[in-house]
Amino acid sequence: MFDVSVIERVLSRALARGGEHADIYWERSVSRFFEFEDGVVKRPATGLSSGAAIRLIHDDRAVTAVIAEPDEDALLAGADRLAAAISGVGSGEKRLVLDEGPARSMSAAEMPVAEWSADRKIELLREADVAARAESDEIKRVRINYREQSKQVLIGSALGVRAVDERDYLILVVQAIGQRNGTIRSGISMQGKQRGMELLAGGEAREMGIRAARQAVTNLDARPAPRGPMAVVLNCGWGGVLFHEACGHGLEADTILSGSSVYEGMIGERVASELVTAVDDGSLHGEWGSYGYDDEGVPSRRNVLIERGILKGYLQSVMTARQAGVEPTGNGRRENYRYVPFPRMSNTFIAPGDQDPAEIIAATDYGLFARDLRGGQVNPASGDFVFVVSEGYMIRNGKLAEPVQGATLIGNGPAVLKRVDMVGSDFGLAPGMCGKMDQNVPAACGQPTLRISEITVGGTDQGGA
Amino acid sequence: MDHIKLDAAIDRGRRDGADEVEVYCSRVRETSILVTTGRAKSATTLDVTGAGIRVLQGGRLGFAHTTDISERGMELAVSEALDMCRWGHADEHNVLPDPSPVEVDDRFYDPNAATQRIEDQTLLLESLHDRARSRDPKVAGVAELVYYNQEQQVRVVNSRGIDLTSRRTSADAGFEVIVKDGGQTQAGIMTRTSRNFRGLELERLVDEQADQAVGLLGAVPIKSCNAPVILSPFVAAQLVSVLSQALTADAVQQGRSAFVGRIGDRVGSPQITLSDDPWHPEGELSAHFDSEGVPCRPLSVIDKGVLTTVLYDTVTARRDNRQSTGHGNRSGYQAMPQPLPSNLLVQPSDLTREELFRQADRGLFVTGVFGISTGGVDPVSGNVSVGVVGFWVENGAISHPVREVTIAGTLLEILERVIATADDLLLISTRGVWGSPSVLIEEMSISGN
Repeated sequence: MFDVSVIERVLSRALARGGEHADIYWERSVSRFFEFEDGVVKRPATGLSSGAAIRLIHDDRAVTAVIAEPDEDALLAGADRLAAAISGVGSGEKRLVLDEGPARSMSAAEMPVAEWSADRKIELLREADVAARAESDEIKRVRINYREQSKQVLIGSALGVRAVDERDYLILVVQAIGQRNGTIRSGISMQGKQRGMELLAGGEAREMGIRAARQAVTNLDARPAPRGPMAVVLNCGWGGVLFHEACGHGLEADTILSGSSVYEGMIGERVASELVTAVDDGSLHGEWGSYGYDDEGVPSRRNVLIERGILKGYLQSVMTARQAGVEPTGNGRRENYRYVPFPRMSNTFIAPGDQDPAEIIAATDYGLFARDLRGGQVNPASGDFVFVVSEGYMIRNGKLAEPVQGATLIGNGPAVLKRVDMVGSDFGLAPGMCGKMDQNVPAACGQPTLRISEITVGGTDQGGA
Repeated sequence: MDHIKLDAAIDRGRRDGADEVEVYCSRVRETSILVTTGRAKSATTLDVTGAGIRVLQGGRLGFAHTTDISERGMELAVSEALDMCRWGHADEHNVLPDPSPVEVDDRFYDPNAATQRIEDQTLLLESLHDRARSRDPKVAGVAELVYYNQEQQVRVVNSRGIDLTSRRTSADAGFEVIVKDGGQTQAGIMTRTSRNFRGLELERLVDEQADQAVGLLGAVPIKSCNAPVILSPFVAAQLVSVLSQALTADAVQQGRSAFVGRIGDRVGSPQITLSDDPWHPEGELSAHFDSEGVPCRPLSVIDKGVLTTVLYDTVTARRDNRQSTGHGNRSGYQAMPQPLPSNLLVQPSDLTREELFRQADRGLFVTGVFGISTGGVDPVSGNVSVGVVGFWVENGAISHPVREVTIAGTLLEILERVIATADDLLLISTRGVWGSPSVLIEEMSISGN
C-alpha cells in the first residue's frame, strides 16, 4: 500500500497543468474459488490482482490512466500523461496535503476465512451436496460454487482524504438439477455476505442444499403459468430485486443527467404508494453490498430514496454530484481498478411495514406468489421491466395452491410501485451481482413480503387468460 | 511480452513437482470513451498485463493468476497453483495439449487501428448526438455512448512444447438513443463489435436506432396470441449468447444442456446453420489458436438443422475420447480455459429484412428484449420467457409499435420453427462475440393484455 506522501506527490503532479479535481484508486485483491460437482472439487483456483487508476477532472470531463502493479514511478508517469492530456487549461504547482481518514471497513467476520483450512471448507460443500441429493431421487446433479475474496482498497482524493477500506466477501451458490422423464428443471440457492465462515458453518450450507433441491423438484411438479393480469405477492428478501431493477437504476444520478430516467425532475413528487419507503445503505455491517468508503473515498451512508411514496433523492458519485451541485452520497463504485466509477446501488431495500405476511396471502383471492425471482431487466428510459419467477405458486381463495413455472412479471416500474397495496412486517436482504456499463459489483436487494394489486404475468399456458 | 520469463515459470513448476505447466499471458491496451449527450465525459487508457498458470500433478489440476509478472511474482503464482492442486481431485482426463502445426498470420491485427487519432474519433462520437436529433424533433439525443478500442497480445507456453503468440485489434461500441413525446419515452439500444472504428458504422447505426425509437412511440400491448415472430439481429444475437451455454461439451457432459444425447440429431429446421467462426474478419475473438494453443477453424455446430458437434477443449474432448475442436477459450488471463465459442453466428441468407416481413405476412417484429441475460432464458431447460418491444407486422409491412408483452417458448422450439434468415448479419460483444441476421420464426406464444 502506498504511503500518504506518495499519493500527495502523484495527485499534485496530475493537477500540475490545470484541472479541478484528481483522485487515485488502488486495490489489491486476493481470491480463492472452488467448484464442487459430483462430490469432488473441480478447477480450484486462486488469484492476485493489483492495480491503480488515476483520474483528473476538468469541468465535466475526466481522463483516467489505469496501470496494473504500479510502483511510484509508474504512477507519476501516469499522472504526467493525464496532466498533458488537459494541458493549457490552467497552471500552477498544486501542493496537496491529505488527511489520513480513519480506516473504515464494513466487513464483519467472526471466523475469518483465512483461519479455516481448505479441507474444512470443502467439507461444508460436501454437506450441501449430500443434503441436496438426499432430498429427492430426482436430483441428478448438484453444482456448488464457493468464492472468497479479500480486497484492500486505498483512495487518495484532492478533496483531502486518504481513505483505506477492507472488503472481505464470502459467497456460496448451490444449483440442483432435477430430472423427471425427459424434463430438466433446476433450483438455486445463494448466500453471500462480508462475513467469515460463520455464514455457512452452523448448518447453513446444508440448508442451502435442501432449498436448491426443493426448488428443482417444485419446478418439476409445476404446471405452465397462466398469463394475464393478476395480483402478485413478492416474497421477503430477494423479491427486492424488483425494486432494484425497476426503480433503483433510474435513481442513479448518471441516468438522470443523461435524460434517460423516468425519475428526472421528480424529487418531492409521489412516485409510489404511501406504503413504500425505499433506502440504499452501504454502511450495514457485514452486508454483501457494503463498503467503508465508496471507490471515490466518500464514506458510505444511509440514503433514503423514497419516503412514504415521495421521491427524496438520487444516488450520486463525485462526478454527478459536481455536475448537479450537490453532495456525493457515497455511491461511486467500480468493479475493480480497470473501470471508472459510476453511481451504483449498495444494499437497496424497501423498509418493512406492519402487516402479518400470512395475512397478505390470506387476503388474496386469486394471484401468484413469487417465492423466488431469478433476475430481471429494465429499460430505464420507459421504466418497463421483466422478471423471471424461478419458484412460483398460484394463490387461490387466500391459500397457496399448485406450483407454476415459466412465469414472468412484466410491467412498468413507476406504475407498479403505485400498486403496492400490502407491505409485510418481515424483512430480508439477499446478495446479487449488479451489472451496469459492463461492470459487475456486489449489491444486496431486500424487502418484506409485499403485494402488488395487479401486474401482467407472462406465462406459457396455451389455455391462456 | 517476450521479455516475460514464461519458460522460467515452467521450469520452476517442473522443479517443484508439477507434471505439466502452462502459462497464458496477455497484454491488453485499451482506450475507452464515454460520451453523454454529445460530450465526451470520460476517456480512459488502460495497459494491463497478467498471467494465468495451470499446473497438473498426479492428474490434479490447479490454477493461479496474477498481475505480478516479475520473476518473483510468477514463481509465487506457480507455487500457489501447485497448492491448489492439493484440493482438486485426480482425473485421468486432465491433460494439456501437445503442439500441433498452426499457421499464425497477422490478419486480425489492423495496424491502422492503433494509429487512428483518438481526438478525431472523439469528435465523431460527440457529433452522433446532434446527428440523431436532426432525424426527428422527438429525438432527445444519444443519452449514452461507450466506445472501446483495444489491442491484445497473447502468448501461450506449455511444458509439452507449445509456444505461440498472436495479436489482434478490435473496436466496440454501445449506445442508447432516447426519444420523447409528451410524457412518453422510448429508447433505441444497440451494440456492435468490429475490427476497427470504421467497421462499426456508427452513423448508420445511430440513424437506424433513432428512426426505430421514434417509431416505438405510442407503443401499446397487444392481445395474447400465438403468431409468427421476427427477431431483429440484435435480439437474435443475444439469444445466441444463451444458446451457446448449452452447446459446450462440459454442459452436455454434466447434464446441464437441452442437447444431452442429441449430437447427430436434427435439432432445428433446415433453415438454421449456427457456426463458430474464429476467422471472421469482424470478430473480436478471432484467432488462429485457442487459449490452450490448439489450432481453431470455422465449424458448423448446427448445420442446416443438424447438431454436428458441441464445443470441446482438451480436457472435455479426452473425456469423450475425441479431439479438441479448438475451443479451449477463456474470458481473460484470470480464467482457466473451458469450452467456449469464439465468434458464434447464425448464418445469414440473401433475403432482405423486407422480404422476411413479406414472407411472415403478419406477426411481431421484435427489436428490443429485456431479461435475456438475467434469467429470461434458462440454458438448462431451454425455457425462454422474455419481455419485448417491437412492431406488429400486417400484410407484410410494419403496422404499429408494441410494448409490455412477453414472448415465450423453448430454445429448441425456436430452432425448429426458424423459417428463414435475412442478410443483415450483426456481431455484438457481450462476454463473448455473438452474431445473427434477422430471423423469422413460424410461431411463438405472445402474452399481452
